[in-house]
Amino acid sequence: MTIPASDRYVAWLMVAGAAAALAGVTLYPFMMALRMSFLDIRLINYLRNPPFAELANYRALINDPFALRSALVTLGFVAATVSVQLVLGSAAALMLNHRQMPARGLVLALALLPMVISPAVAGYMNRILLDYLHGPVPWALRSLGLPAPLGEPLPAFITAVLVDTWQWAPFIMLLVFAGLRSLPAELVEAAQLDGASFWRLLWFIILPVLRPVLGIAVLLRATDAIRTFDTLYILTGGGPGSSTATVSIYLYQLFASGRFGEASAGAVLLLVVLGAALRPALRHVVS
Amino acid sequence: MSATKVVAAKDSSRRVTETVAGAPARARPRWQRALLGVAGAGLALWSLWPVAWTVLISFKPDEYIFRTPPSVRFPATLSHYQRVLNTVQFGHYLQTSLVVAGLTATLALVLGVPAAYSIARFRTGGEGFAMWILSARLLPPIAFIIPFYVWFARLGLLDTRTALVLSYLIPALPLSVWVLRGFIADLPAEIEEAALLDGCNRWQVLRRIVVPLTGPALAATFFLTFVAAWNEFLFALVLSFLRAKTWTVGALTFVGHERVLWGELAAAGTLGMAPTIGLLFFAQRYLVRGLSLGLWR
Repeated sequence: MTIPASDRYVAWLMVAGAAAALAGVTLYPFMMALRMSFLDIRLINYLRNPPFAELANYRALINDPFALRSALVTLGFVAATVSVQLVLGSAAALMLNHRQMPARGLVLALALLPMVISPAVAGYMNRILLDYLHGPVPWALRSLGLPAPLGEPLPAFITAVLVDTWQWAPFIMLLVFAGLRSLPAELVEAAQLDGASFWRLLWFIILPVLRPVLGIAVLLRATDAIRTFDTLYILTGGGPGSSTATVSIYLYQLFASGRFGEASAGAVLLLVVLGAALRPALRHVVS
Repeated sequence: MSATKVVAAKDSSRRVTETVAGAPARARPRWQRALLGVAGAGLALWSLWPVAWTVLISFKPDEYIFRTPPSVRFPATLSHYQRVLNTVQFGHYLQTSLVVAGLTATLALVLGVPAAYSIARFRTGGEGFAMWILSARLLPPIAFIIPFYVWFARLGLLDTRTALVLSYLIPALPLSVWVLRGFIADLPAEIEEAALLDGCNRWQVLRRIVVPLTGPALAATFFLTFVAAWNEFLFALVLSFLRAKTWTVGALTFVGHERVLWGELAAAGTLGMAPTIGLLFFAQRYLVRGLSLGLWR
């Protein structure tokens, strides 16, 4: 539709507030981080004039084994959480959507509960549950002869994935459930009249139609998994060794130890890599 | 929020909810319903039990907390809550969170509604602009921690609520624009066009027509942005120490290096969780509607 000139002015004015605010809190800090990544900036000198350091920060990052490790841990964490949550969340949505599901509204509300809990509190709560000495879960596991959830690297990683699943599988469930509710009934009925079983129905009708919703869900959860900090920090602080130290935890550790230059370099790298990876996905979502 | 109400609201046009299961109802054996009931109960319990356990602990006297096997029957005490609220000023932290989250959610709506309208109706800025706005929601906060810390330190804004609200706009604004854009795009443009013909300008159209019609989406957006800001931890951890400390960081007070005050921690967590859980039950019916419409665009 052709937009008259007067409307065009108003259109830009309307986005001006949001655009200015967003640019202020994203573009400007990014440029700051970019600049700081080339400086030898630390906790002791960040308010004065830190010396120029060329590529020293980037070189330090590349040579740091923990940096690569955190990237690997992050990839593993993302892969594990997204796949588990996708399967469980979709299964829960299908269950909720079932015609014969009793108390659907109540179960939905309760199932969504973990989503509104602060990830920090999820961390606190699960520390209470999983504490080696006082928690009920290790006590139960011990009587079964199983290792404590937070004591060793692999169980800690699995526990982190489980806690994240507890919190965010409901998100997938919500999206898929909303999508299922919007499916046209005629399509499904036609297939059923043709004698389709539940699995064929799922695979050939429901999944293709839900593909955009699932795509958004995977995109959001994948990026959220990379952003995860609160739960991991409180639950394991990076894990026994660095088994649950994702990129977020690693960058925070750099910051907390005062190495602002390296942390900035890491931030820049992270944003560049993420930006490149997300471009095709975003284009797909926006159109 | 009864099950029949939810189903009835959705069944105004016949949807697939009633037929996904397969064959017609009378052929369905009754055990299916029982099985679903058990699975549903399992799901509910799985979601509830960490929360329930934490609330339980918050009322347990210390001696019972340390007992193994853990006991469900015990004399309840309010001592943990007293300690949390009186000795640590947890109430102050809760208040800070309330102000910051409220301001963030309000700003997200005030700035987001016009922007969403502009993008929905005029495609302002094209695909690139929309992509940029959405991408901000996907960026890892940790990447902004360092520049924010230095920036706010230089501006003297460390440990202020302003700093927190500004930080929280990064996820809140894109979410607001995203959800509202989809919802507004679904509104029939004829009503607006009629108003324009009658002499309204776009701002009046926004105020008098679009805003009232997008009620559920506004509520859902406010809810989502408020909850996200209320629950936020990292920025509060880094940018606030005393005056602007939020409750999520305040709860850390009870996590010491040598020992953890489990009862107090549980009480702090319960106090922080209560508002969002309450809001959830209140806003729940808008969430499914607001999201299912807003995400299809």
